[in-house]
Amino acid sequence: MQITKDVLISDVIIRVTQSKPSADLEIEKAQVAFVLDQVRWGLITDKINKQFAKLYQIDPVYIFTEDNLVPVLTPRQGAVIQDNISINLQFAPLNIYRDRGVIRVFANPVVVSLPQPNLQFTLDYGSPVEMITAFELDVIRKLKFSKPSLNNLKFRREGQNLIIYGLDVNTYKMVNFSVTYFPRISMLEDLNDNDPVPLTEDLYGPLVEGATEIIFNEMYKTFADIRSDATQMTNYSDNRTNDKTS
Amino acid sequence: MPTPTSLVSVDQVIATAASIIEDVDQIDRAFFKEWVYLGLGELGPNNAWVADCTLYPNNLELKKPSDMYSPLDIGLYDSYGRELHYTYRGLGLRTNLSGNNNLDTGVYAPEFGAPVDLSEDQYYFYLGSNSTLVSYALLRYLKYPTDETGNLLIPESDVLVLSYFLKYMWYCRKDDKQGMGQWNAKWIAARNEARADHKVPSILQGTQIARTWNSMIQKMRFKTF
Repeated sequence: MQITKDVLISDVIIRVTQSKPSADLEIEKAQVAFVLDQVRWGLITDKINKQFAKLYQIDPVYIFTEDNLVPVLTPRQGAVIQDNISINLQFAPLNIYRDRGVIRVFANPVVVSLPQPNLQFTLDYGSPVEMITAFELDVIRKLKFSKPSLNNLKFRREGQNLIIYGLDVNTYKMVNFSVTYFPRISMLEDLNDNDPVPLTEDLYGPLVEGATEIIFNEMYKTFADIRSDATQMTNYSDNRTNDKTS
Repeated sequence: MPTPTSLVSVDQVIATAASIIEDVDQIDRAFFKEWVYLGLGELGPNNAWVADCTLYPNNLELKKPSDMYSPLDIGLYDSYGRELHYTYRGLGLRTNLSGNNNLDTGVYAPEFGAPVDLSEDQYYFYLGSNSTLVSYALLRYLKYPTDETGNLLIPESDVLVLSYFLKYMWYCRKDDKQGMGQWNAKWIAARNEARADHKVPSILQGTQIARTWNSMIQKMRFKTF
């Protein structure tokens, strides 16, 4: 069975209503999707962080690659050199350990078809673009061999945008980018009902249970008896206190 | 002993270093290029940077090779392959008369103190006006080999050494004192070995030295008897 948005939402509703879903259920599917998103992002981020910390291979199901991303120039008023170049990603990357949400950025030179001055630079097969942080940008710029340049492109992430260093108004049309990253895909906004949800099998159970617990609390002002051991508590703090004392 | 002609790009050094630093991420990698050249400076020059070439004069000028850093030796020859004497005059053209009538009138006469005048600037060697006999020049020089993007190429024998240096620098960046201690020792040992390697002649050069060595011992191949 493929894990789709519809499967996840239906499973949560079945559990919350204890197998008695009704047409006039007071909680909307969109709200279930929203809750599923919150729980899923937390679980995925946590798992990827642990895999990074233990130097394990990352689950490839969370990885997404975008090709042919065209850089955009945003002019700065009065600037002598216009070099505010950025690319916009389809999804915001996950915020994970040491900002490793963006795995790889690669610059592909654009093949020029129109007759024009020979502006082809030497990135003939493409080059990896390395990440820098805003904190270290000025440090990097002072290093002779590491500073951003046409042959040494760098990027910095600001939310969903990647700001490219090393290109300027004359050169930014000569290259497009491929970006591989961990997208923060939202079931509420980005997926249709039958779209597969990127999720490893081991997180299916915790995801549905976590979402069920939250929604159960929203509907009945109490927590679900997920473990079926008659410990259905009235609020979260009571639940924790009881766990400690038992 | 290193093979003097094998050169690789800086990216290969960075990739090798990244393969032995498992937790390295992109933010660290942005510094690697700087560290490679920092380490290369520590290793010093080597046989891979020595090259020979033939230059042909054009209007009393010899164009320097584009990958040259500095000349080590130059010899001038006529069309019969006979070497001509020259005097190196330093940078730039002669601004004053020499006082030697042969030189001033463009006559090559080394026996009368008028060898070929040789001077240079950033791009050319300049021959004096008495150098019409010069047919070609043999140049030995320290080269500065670069890849297509202008980065200095790295001798292949130094890749492992520089990878150790990058790992040491990475620990410095992380302020990991245990790692710094361990890898400083490894890097220093590898660096000393590389420095010694750089000074060792190749097998062919060694054979050449052995043949020309002035020795009291007879050069006989005893094993042929």
